[in-house]
Amino acid sequence: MDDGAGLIFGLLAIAAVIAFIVFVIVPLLIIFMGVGALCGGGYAVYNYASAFRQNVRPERV
Amino acid sequence: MNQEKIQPAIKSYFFGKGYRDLGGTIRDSWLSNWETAKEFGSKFADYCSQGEWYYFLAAWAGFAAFSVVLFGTIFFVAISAVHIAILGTFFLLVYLSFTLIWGIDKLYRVRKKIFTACPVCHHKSELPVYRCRKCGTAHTNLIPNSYGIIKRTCNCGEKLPTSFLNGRAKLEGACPKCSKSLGNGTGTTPICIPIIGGPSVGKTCYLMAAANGLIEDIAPKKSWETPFLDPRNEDMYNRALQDFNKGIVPAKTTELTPTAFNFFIKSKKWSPDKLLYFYDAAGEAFQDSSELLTHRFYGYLHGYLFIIDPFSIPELLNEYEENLKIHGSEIRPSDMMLEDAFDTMLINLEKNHKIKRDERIDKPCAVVINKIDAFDLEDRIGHKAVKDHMIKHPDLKDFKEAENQLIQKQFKSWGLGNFLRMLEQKFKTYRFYTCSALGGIPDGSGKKFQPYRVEEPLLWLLGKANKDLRV
Repeated sequence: MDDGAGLIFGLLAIAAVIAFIVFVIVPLLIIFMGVGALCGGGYAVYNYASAFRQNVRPERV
Repeated sequence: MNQEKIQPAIKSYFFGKGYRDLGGTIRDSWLSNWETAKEFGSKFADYCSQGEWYYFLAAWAGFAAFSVVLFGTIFFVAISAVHIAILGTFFLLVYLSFTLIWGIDKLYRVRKKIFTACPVCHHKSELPVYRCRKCGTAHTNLIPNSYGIIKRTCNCGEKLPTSFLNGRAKLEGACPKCSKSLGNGTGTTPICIPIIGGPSVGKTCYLMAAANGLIEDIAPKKSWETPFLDPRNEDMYNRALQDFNKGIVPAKTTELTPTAFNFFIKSKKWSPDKLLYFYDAAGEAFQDSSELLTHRFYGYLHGYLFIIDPFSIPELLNEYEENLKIHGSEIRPSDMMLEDAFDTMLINLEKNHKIKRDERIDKPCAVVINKIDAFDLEDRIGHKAVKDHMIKHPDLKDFKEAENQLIQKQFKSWGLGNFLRMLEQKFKTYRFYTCSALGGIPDGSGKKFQPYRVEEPLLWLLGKANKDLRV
């Protein structure tokens, strides 16, 4: 009886951890990564566009 | 294409600035990313040091710094790759079109045998120096290259065409060596013929008479136009014609290194125009091969016009001694043996133009016996004599062949066997002609000169040099 209950609790704990990872950590990570990509990528695009505008200019005669 | 010299022009975007712009954009963008990441990094440090109430902001700043480093770098690499790929594709197309236009331009010049020959210093060049229409600056290598594919921009801002396709030949050209202006005669096919012979053989008279025959007689029949390149040559030609009309022998040439006498031959049947170059040096130049060192045109000429004064042949001089006592001052026999002039020319070719001693020259040589009007020479080697020779030898069907045979036979009998052997040894193609550049003995009566048969040798050489000019 004790062994069976221990096994069930153990399995439930593992399931809870997995569920926590899958339903909380992973979405959070995805959200963070998405926000990070938007933020970091946005900066990169902005910086590249600024550098392009500064460098690519017609030579004046 | 490889020997690109620095030009007074702005480098094409696709060869110079395009790469610098790409490099600059990538470098500046990377530095900006790094600066942004450092900014967030320092904000993170600031928030951390301000206590637990700021931890949330510190987490945000740290996350932002991390995002800029990780995602910023990924995006930077991706955008750079796209930029390089787009520019690379565009550059490749530009390079391909540049190579294509350069190749067409080069092929055209080779096929049409276009080169530049300076009429003064006789330097031969593939391309002349072109001058900017606006500021006159010299462009030494005006071809499709890194300064421009179709056009190049001079430092003054003027756009200059870089190939024959879009009118480069209309620009004023100049000799790359002596800077002599070549006017608009640069995109033409030159045909260069030196007039060879000792003093007083009648080279200048022959040249003027032959040029006159070509310009006034042949050209109108063939619908050719024959404008002069240099107005000074036109003046010289007109003066000589005036002298001819008054029965005055043109003044003796004194230039040991001649300036070319040239004029165009233009026709709707061909493009580009032909530009004839005749070189009439003083006969004294043929006394010593060192005098011919500056005659660089022997390195690129198209045929030899060797003028002979029959009275420079000792045998004939003796034979006509009595007649020459009366007309000697008018005929002015050349005092230089024709073999000597011929020898000097051959020595010059061997010494200065890499013609080997045993090599046969594949350029045609017209041997022209001038002063054929004097005494009874016409009856001995002239056309009348050739006709008689053909009657005596019915197997001879071709007039030219009969003329060659008769003249060679006469030359042998006049002790010129050695000259004939040398001619045969050195030239693959040669022909004999007889003519009179004045049409009669200049007696000072003011009677107009009537040259005859002067065009024949010239037309033969021109036809050999260029098939368009075969008459």
